Amino acid sequence: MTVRFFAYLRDREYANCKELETAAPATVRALGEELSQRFGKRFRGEFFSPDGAELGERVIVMVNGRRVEFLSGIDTPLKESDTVQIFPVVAGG
Amino acid sequence: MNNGYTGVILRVDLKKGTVAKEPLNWKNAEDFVGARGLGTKYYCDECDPNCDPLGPDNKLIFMTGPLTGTVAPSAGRYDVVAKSPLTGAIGAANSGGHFGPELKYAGYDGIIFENVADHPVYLYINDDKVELRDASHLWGKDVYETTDLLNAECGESFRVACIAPTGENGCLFAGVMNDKHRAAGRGGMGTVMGVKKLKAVVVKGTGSVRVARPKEFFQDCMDARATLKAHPVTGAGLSAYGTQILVNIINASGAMPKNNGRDGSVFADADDISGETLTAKYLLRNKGCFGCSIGCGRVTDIKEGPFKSKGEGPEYEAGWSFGADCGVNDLAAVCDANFLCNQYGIDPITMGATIACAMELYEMGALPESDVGFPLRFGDAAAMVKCTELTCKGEGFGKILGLGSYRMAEKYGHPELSMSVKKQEMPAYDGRAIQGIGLEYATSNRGGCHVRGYVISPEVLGIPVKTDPLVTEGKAGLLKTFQDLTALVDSTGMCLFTTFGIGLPEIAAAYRDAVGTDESDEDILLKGERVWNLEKQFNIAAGVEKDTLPPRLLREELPEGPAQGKVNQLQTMLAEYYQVRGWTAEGIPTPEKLQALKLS
Repeated sequence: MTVRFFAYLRDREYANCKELETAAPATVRALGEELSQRFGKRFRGEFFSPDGAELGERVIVMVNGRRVEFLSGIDTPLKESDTVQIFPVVAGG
Repeated sequence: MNNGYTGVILRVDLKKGTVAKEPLNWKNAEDFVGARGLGTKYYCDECDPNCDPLGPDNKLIFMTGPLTGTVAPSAGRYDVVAKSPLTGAIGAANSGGHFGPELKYAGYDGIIFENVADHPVYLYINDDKVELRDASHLWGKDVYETTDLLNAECGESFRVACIAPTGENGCLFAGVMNDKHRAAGRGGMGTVMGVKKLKAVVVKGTGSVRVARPKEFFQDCMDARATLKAHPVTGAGLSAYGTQILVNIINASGAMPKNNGRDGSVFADADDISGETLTAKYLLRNKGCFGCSIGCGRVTDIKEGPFKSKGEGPEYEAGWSFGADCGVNDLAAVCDANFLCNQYGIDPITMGATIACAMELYEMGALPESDVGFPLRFGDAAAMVKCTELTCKGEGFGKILGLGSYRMAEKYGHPELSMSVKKQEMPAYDGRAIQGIGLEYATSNRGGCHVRGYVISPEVLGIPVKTDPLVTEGKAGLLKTFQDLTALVDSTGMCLFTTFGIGLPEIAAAYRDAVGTDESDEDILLKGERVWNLEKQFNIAAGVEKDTLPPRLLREELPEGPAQGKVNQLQTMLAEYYQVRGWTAEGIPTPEKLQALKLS
């Protein structure tokens, strides 16, 4: 599957890349764990809430362009053909 | 006491060449707050809704709000109000920078321009000294030249709001530009200014703005500023990346119209024109308006290549209109076109969307190449910039582009290909992929517009709540709240972007302590609803067309992306919207509603 990162999450302190390919973990939560293992504490701090149970307040996670809140939340299942997009909270207009 | 206001309005008769000072209408200020609301109230009381927007009876009103020029966060805004020559609806466009605060420091809440001058003039304001001066030497000069000449003539510390030749030559979407790069951009307020032969307003003031409860007001503002500073969007994201940061998330949502919306709303090259790329390749620094801690403005420099240029921006909307909407993936070309719009004082949303419409007309064979003068296919960056330049200079095909997409598409037999509502182009979000924004476009009192009720915030960004962009349920009530709150915020003189971090409680507290009222938050929000209904009343009286969307959004299913197969479900939402507004099923405010809002 493809994972894409945006804004400062592309920076060296976080993913240090725009995009990566990885074998699809079972869920978004498992993907977050895998990426946190790879990128470290700062990334974990963005991706997960302080207790690690939910998504952090500063992150937007989409699966194929749909926010996971409108799918099955952090437990949204993933498959190999999916694209996951990870954004910090952004706004504009 | 003049708390929050100066208590003085300037009335300028351009035909007679006279300037009069008159007391502010305090009752109207109380009911309609200021800026957009108060300017619209003055306009509606004094002008015939059926007047010719390009005629002498269309007044032009500059109006500040009670918080403009105070320490309230990002409170540097003023509105320009007139009947729009593009839409025929009420036009109100607001702008930041430093002009609005300077006008208040000079001692004036607003300026009402009447009639037409017999030669080009500008209004000179230096505290108490106010006079019309000859502007013949400025006529034909662009925004940068005009500003520099006026600063040389009047003094470097004067703030300048002006028009460019686009406003003088009949382009229907010319804006009023202040501080060179800030725009009261939409709906052709600069066109109205040009008709009046009013080239500019220059102002310098040495006064201040008095507030009713200084200690409480200061605390309100410091608390609000702290909240904005701590918020990830207003404290970090917008200053780091500007509004262009939206490109990737809107595109990922399948909502960034591509090729005039003909080919759906997923642009494969979105990252090439994104805020991330702008920051990496061209950003010199960010820039803020008066009293703003957000600093979303971009100072950008294209150092080399065919689109070598320097200026400010682009904002997300311009990034989309010159980018994905024209199928262009060259960010340097997008920046160049945007800089031209600033220099020549035109609305980049309408400009880019009109070029996109022309590209579709050209590709289907309805627009002959002989009319354009060169091939005009989607994705041709040089042709896109050339079209912008021709429009800016009022040359060749640019004269037709300067009419906006609706009149142009009508001329070539396909008005349905104009992606506009009430003849004003819709911005950068596809109403098929984001249902609520489609309802906003349809009902916006100034025609296709996103910032009259920015429901992108909850529908995509999750601020302040998360709502599913693909569903219609609940969108009517949500939109009404956003529209009313926005009308209030615009009327105070604060920037709408503050609402990413703060809300009604913070804004109402600042308003209360500035003007010295004890009204509840709900009473204050009601003023926003009053402004909205006043605008609607004007539009009905002016015979503005009904609330709807282009057929493309209602009938052509999106071909790909997360909203594949969707159209906008307008009729479902519109019926509910009229109901929650307390209007009839035809969208007319009922006598009861008008009475409740003190509008009858």
